[in-house]
Amino acid sequence: MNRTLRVVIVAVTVVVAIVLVNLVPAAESPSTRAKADDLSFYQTSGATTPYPLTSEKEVRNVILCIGDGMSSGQIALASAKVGAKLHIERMPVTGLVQTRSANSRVTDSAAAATALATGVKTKNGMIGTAPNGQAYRSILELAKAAGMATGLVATSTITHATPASFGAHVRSRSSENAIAEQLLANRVNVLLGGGRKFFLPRSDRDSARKDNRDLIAEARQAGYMYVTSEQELRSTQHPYVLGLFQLGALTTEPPEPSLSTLAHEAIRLLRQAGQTAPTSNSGFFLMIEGSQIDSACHEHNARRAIRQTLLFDQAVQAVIDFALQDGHTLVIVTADHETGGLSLSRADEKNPDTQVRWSTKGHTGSPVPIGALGPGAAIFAGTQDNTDIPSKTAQLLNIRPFPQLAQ
Amino acid sequence: MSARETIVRVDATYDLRVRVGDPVHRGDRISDAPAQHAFAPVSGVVKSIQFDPQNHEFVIAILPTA
Repeated sequence: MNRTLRVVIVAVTVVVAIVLVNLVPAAESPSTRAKADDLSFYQTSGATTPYPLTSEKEVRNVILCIGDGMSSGQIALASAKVGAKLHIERMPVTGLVQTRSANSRVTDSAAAATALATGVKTKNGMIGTAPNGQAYRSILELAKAAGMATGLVATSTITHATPASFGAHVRSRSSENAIAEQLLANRVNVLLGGGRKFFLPRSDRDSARKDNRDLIAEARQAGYMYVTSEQELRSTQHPYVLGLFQLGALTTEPPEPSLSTLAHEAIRLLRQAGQTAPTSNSGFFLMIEGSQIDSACHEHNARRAIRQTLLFDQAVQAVIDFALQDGHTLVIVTADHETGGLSLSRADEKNPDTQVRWSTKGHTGSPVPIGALGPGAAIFAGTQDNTDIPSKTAQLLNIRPFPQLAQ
Repeated sequence: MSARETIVRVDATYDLRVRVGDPVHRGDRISDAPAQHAFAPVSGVVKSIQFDPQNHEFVIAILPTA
């Protein structure tokens, strides 16, 4: 092959690559794009002032809201799209969170959520354990041991890395069969999300299990109410609820309950469970994850990133509405890591695809924001490590020692 | 997926070193992931890259050169 021919081949390859890369957004189906553009679910308040601080000291309930892959770029993009401040942006106490894991400047969700749950740094991919595999009790497990009701809500499978780190201990995030078993064995009061396939026996055609354990039947026998629709969720009064609304991750489209509805219903159920607990006023611990901001940013899909951020913000609004009314609820809003290296560039506000720049297909090691509201919120101000968040929460709940090895 | 394609799965935590249309040689590093699967197993052209949210991986299809 002569030199001229080689140059031509390389040039053609480069052109084809550029064309293909630029075709990626156009490869989205029209219906998918229309859904991503439909933001009618989101109502802005028009308010710009921070939510009020409180002088109340007693923390009875803790609600930790995690936007997977969400940092200031994702928030700013969504805020620009709706032309108003998000609820996340109105938290009265704010700071930054450093996110590195035990073995990498760039964390994954498993190591980050393990830090947020147990106060211990671990290697990427590990769930609820130190790098040597030793399990540490999560803030959720310790809250439960202290008599509080507990809940996990996610738009991913409920066995995915973030919710898993609060109620399971495995060496690999891919061990979702074992995670499903441990979430139930841990008697988490409210489990709402996707991932039914990890609870079905292998004999079921939709199963992703490697054995024939029917975890839904086991959950029922253990006293859980099992629900699969918004109507069933809204009508249950049970202190233990397993809500699995899809085989895999949620679609985040109707007729599924929205993340905001899941948050609202989880709070209702946990309040009821707390009131019927052996100790009165025992309160609850709830983790809510907007799981799919991360996916949108891995795909460099700005429209979907906006929609997922607004769905998460809508859930945060439901949490704040409850907390302000309750007066004894600490709300923490943060992220596990940033995804995509998203930054705002050209100011074409009608077209988010041209408004953003992405610096990576993966995660970044940039710090993520934290906002807090309610009693004890002030100690989350400033820059902190992700392991500090459960440590400070444990301090406010009088849980000692923390971190704590599992027996 | 073509029967001729070679599929490589890499952890999506880390950035990719290839884009669709890129030529790759066997042994080239295609991801910043610290794992043995971060290298191209065959020579060819990157035909597609998909994100698999359930496994949090990029699924890279490489069309081998003849």
